[in-house]
Amino acid sequence: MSEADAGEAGAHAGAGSGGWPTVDFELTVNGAPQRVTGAWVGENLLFVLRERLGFTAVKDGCGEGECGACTVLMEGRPTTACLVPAVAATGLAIETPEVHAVPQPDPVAAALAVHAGAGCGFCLPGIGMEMRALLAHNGKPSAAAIRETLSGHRCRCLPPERFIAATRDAAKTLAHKQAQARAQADASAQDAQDAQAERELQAERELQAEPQPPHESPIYPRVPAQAGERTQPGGRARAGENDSEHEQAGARS
Amino acid sequence: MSTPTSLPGFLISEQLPDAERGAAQPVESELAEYGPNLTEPSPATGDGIGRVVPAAKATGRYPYAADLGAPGMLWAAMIRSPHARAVIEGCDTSAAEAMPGVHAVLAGPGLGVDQVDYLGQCVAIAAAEHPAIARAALSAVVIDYRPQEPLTDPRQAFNAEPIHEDGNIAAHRFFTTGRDAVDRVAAAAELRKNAPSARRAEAFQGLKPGRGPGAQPDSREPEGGDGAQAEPEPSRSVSVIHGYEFARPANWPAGPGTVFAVPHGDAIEIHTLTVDPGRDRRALAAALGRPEGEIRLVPAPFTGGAIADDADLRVAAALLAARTGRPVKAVDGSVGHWPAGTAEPAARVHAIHVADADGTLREVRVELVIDGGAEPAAAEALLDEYCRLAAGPYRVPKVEVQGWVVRTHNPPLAPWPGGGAALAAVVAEAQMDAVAAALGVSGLEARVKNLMRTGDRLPDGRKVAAADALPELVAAVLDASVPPFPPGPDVREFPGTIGRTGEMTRLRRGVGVALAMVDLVPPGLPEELATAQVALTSDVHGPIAHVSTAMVDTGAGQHAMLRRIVREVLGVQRVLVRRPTAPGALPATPLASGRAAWLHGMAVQRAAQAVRAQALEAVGAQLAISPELLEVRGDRVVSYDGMLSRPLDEVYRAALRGAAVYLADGEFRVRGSGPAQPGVFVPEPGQAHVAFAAHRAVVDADTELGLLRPVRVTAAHDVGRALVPGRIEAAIAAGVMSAASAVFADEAPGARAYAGALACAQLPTALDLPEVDVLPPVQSSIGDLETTALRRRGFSAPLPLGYQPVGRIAHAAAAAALACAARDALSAHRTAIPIRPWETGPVL
Ligand code: FES
Ligand code: FES
Repeated sequence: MSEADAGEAGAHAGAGSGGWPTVDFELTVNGAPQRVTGAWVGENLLFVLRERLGFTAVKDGCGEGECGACTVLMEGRPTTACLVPAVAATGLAIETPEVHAVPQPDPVAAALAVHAGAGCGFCLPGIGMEMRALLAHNGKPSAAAIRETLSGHRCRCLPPERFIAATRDAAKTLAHKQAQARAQADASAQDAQDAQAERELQAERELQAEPQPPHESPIYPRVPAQAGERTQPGGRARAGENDSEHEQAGARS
Repeated sequence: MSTPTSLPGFLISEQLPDAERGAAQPVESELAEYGPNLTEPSPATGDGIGRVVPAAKATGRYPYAADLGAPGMLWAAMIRSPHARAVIEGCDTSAAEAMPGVHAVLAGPGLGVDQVDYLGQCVAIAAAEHPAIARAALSAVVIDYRPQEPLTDPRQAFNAEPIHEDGNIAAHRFFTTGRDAVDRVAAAAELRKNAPSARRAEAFQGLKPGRGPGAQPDSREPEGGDGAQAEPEPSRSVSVIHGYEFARPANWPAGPGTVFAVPHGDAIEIHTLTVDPGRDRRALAAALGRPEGEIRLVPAPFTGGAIADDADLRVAAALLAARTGRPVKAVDGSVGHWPAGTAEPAARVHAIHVADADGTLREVRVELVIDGGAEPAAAEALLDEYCRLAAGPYRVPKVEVQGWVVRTHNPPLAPWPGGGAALAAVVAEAQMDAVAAALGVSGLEARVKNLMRTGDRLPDGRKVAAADALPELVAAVLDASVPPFPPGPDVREFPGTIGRTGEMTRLRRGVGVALAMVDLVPPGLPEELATAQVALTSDVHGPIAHVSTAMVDTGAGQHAMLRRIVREVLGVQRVLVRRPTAPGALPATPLASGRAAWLHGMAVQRAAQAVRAQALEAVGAQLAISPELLEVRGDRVVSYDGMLSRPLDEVYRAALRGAAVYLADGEFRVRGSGPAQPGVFVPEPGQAHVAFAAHRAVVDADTELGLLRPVRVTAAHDVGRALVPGRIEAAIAAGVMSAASAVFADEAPGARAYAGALACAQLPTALDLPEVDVLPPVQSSIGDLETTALRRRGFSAPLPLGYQPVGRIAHAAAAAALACAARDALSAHRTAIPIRPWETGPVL
């Protein structure tokens, strides 16, 4: 969070009815500003998102950073919302599963529905966020990488290979969509033949699925289009940061 | 029930000080025969539960109880007793009540609790406008405890002062088969009166370990078995004696139990996890002291691993809602963690297997004690199931099994995933491996040699009606591929995965094959009944069927299964399934776990068949055939012999003209014994209907660091008729997942310093959960009346459908196979479940 952001969205402190310290602040959820008033200072982001703002796709599985059900993206990084004090999230771009549900489930949610829909479904929104972050910087993750990424999520219903299959399906759809989008853009700018060559090359690359630089994330471009607010799409996470990310979440035993 | 006046002879820790050291030799691994696994795990799908529900789950819109809310909602909190046994001498809630934002505080006598009977008993509840305020209010409640000496060791329950007016022994079972069975029953009755030492001497009589070829004498000697020198055995036999311990089950559901209570005038609406709203409503009404009519239970979608909501939680939410007149949400976990405390195993089993030198089982003796905690009545079914299945699916001429459920001051036993069948399978399969090791043969050989056949007896003397599926199942798991060994090169595929990585040179692979069985209709089963109503009519879009059922859809696709049944019988694509909102609209009895799909499925099927017969009456008259003999196949109405047929849409167009409605009720009953009647499933007297599964588990271990990683579980089931294969696969996978957690890491509430925190549970994560390879189910075409397969399995009538408790049997088989594989990998006969290799250090 930059200094300027903090200043803009700064929290205002007060005291609640029972002498409880309360705060007013603003969160940026799925690109839209959300005003929170009279919240107890100790509230975590999970509580504020679910109970005050109604983002119930963020699930409360344990409240202690172990289960991953509450995973949201903060500035593009998967974060367990139950471990983040809500006031500390002001000025950061928060993304919840809701934004990927409309108008259609995105490729990740669709793949989860197909491969993991037979489970109870409680862990799926959180796993979906983690998968989106993974696919944003690794277009073709190995089975072991997917397992490691999901090891902070406790699914009690389904074996890991269902999620491996879902991640791979989603990766394929995303690569395909991206190739199409690029091809369209290219075709308008270039000579038809060049475009064709480029498209083929691009499609080839996508299928090879080299890791993508973060700003070319296949997922985030949707967000500003929908919400129209965010200037810098998320996706700060880089492959190399993955391990320290896990340390922070503190869930991986 | 019998109440032994003396100490029974199962005191494992005293009699078998070296149970751990009597390590069996590693079971010969069957790996060499298999090449590397070239196949990808089969892509499973959410097939069978439609498209809407999976999409809602994946996008987070599926309505779990935790996601409900209402204006003016209050949050409940709960405190649990830090003492196992205490008298509450008084309590002061005034400070808590004076806190702003607090709406109700009930504690101690105000809550109807004068005395604490177990560690973690709910002693105070509060409702406030914010969960933090509710918690703060409770910390201001002063409760004056007078602690007393608790009874926490279940082994002491027999001799200790009675802690309850009904005594300390809540249930007892004793079964014996074999030539001298009658004498043994008498002897056992006698024994319970005798002194402990005599009892123990008797227990070991005739069980002096033999000297089988290839066996290591000292690995089987029951040191401390004081009567071990009694009767000489034929020299060439082995006996293996082990004591097994099972930690208290903890299910760690994916989402914490959440109860949401909304008052409506005099009535309260309660959203909670329940598969049987009728039964739970009665229990809740009794606990609240209110008429049943004032309580309405609304089933909420289940979260993974959950079996039901804590009764305390329901009572707390309902009481507080009634008291405050406002909606109340109570969430387990945030309302109060279990205090740290007992690590007493919940079940101790002492098993003796005697086999001839050629591997033929001669005798099995089992004694067990289950700690039922402060409310032991619920554990009786667990004990009963264990005792009836104690020897596993093996042919044993002589079986003696005896078990007790005792009352202690430990928390009441949570429902055991897999039930008594799982405990029995884990012990029986471990013993089979120990027998094989003592004889120097492979575990597989020992199992195949002793495989149960149709007509063999269970320990309770009933004959198994059909065991034909067993060899097929064993062959199926052995034919399946195994993952390549060694794993890697990615370190994340090694035991320990990231962080504590095993090393190639210390890596060992273990393989375990296990068989499990579940008793479908125990003899003592009181009548269970399910009813349903099906209506067939038409609207502008064509024919449509409405199904009314009491079956709860927990989110696992139960209603989709019912839809499938009706579609199949009526040939109608549009089927609506709903639960009647008025309680008691469809009479039903409580159904034990695992039988709901069978009973409700059958009731719906019978109702649909009755409706079909009505709707086809006219066409039957045209064809001069009774409408009962007409079926729907594809898009035609066909006579049973296929000779006559009519297009279905024509038939329905005529039959449903003028929005005609055909309506019929269906019911299905199951009873453990009694006269056979149409519409009631009663086993033949003395017959047992048993479902089987075979699982093979592969576990890698770093034997020096004591790291285990389950790699793959291969499951073969006889599922009867798979109506919705996707559901069955998911149920098997869920059973394997819960088994992996139970065997490798689950930690009971109250077992550790920060008990109740998921952080201490050390559940396996996505990195070390096994792949599940569900083999194409052995499908006996049981859906068709009077088929050979049906009779081969001992069913005469009526036709069973969905009769297999797939999830339970998968848990049982997978738990046994994973434990066997872990022992194989560690080359040590570990007898404590969960298996925690690192606690005892290097084992080689
Ligand atoms: S609720 Fe945040 S990790 Fe479980
Ligand atoms: S689907 Fe139930 S916890 Fe993952």
